[in-house]
Amino acid sequence: MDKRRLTQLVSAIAYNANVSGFVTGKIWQGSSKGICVPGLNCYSCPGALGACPLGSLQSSLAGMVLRFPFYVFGLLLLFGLLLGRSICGWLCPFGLLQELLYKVPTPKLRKNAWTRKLTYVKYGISLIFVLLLPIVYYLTTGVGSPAFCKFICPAGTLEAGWTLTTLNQSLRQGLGALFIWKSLVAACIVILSLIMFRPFCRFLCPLGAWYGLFNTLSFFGITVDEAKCTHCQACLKVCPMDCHKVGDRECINCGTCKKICPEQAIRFKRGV
Amino acid sequence: MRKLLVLLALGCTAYGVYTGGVATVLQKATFICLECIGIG
Amino acid sequence: MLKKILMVLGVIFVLIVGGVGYLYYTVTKGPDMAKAQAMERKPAPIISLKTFPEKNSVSLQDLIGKGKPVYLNFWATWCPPCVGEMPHMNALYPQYKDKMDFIIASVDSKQDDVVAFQEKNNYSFPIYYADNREAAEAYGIQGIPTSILIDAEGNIINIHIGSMGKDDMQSFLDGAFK
Repeated sequence: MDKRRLTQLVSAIAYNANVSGFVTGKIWQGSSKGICVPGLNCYSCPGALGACPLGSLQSSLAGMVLRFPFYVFGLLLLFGLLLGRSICGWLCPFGLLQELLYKVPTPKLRKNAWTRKLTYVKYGISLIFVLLLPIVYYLTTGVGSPAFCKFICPAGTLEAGWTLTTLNQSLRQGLGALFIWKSLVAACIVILSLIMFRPFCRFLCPLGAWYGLFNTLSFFGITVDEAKCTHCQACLKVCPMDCHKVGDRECINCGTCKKICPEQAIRFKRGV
Repeated sequence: MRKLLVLLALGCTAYGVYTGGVATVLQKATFICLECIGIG
Repeated sequence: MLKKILMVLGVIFVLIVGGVGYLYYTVTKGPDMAKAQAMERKPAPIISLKTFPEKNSVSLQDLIGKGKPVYLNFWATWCPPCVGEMPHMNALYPQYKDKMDFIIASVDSKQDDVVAFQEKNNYSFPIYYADNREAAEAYGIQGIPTSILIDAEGNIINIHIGSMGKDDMQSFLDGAFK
């Protein structure tokens, strides 16, 4: 097992170390939940010890008074500047899940010009579901609604929705159309992950969209030594994401290109 | 440029903590988001 | 190649839709243990509250078991389903206020938000402030809104997690008079 896979597993376990929650069907209510973890991990997961940064951002926009979420925004900016999308590649449990699903031997849909175009969709999703809709809900009903969590987030459905409703009979009273919709969304993403590499990360994830903006700026990340590079493009061919350049906004810093580069021109940044 | 942004990030986070941002996140994260899990 | 992928996709999709449907069917038809437990009529845990808007301290002990059933609801201004069921609460309150006490307890950590909320909505039912940690621990509140029906002797008769429509709320409240 390589360093990256190990880090993914350790972080997934660390984020969700409240093991008793999976037995009792109760979520952790301790004060560690005031801290956002960098990856996508639903805070309604029975195991979760921290808060989801995306959920926290949306729910900070919910409430009687529309306040700018300084704390969550500050953390998201900090995570981005420190790590960029290496969070996606190393510290996100949902990314790990998709990678493990992709290992199942099925015919695979490889990336192409269309998938590169589709990577823009996640920016639209971010603007509409994470920012606009909560504010629209606030303006029309008086309280914001975490629209991405409510209508889309498959991590919430898998980690929280299915676990909690299976373990808690009292929660099943309220099951309805929304649960079915979210289950279908989650199921579709699971199926797609079998035949495509990280479809959610590439096309839908608002966190990936945000962190990607910092990929070239971040302290930790991946970079090419131009002096050694012969422009053979072996890196881009082997890259499982839709990168146009090593370390661009689609790069999750998985290091696959680093392994294949014949000139060993690719290395992980360690900060300036 | 990066240093400026890091300062901004730290400043935002600190200000957010000062104005009760952590308590806000905590109160929401310690209740099940019923909408989020499809119950509403 | 594409045909093969579509076939695999199709089979898996059917399996998953079938699985979700089956799960939904069996899960919603299962026995409700929470309701059964509530039927055991355990005394309602006592918590401290503050009146709204004066913020005078009062114990739940002083408000229940006085010969009238009580409708205790935990909510917050930032919780859309909580806020969503309040118009129904407001519509039903006049019919029930003589025979039942309403304690609509906000767990907001920013108490000023409740003031702003009531200024905007001017609901008729009595609002209280509750401490979210205390309520969560005492009542095992995992999600809000949570509605708790307490009988005239101060015992829990019924618990409902999640928002309720007007008819469901009415049935819930009527449960105190059976």
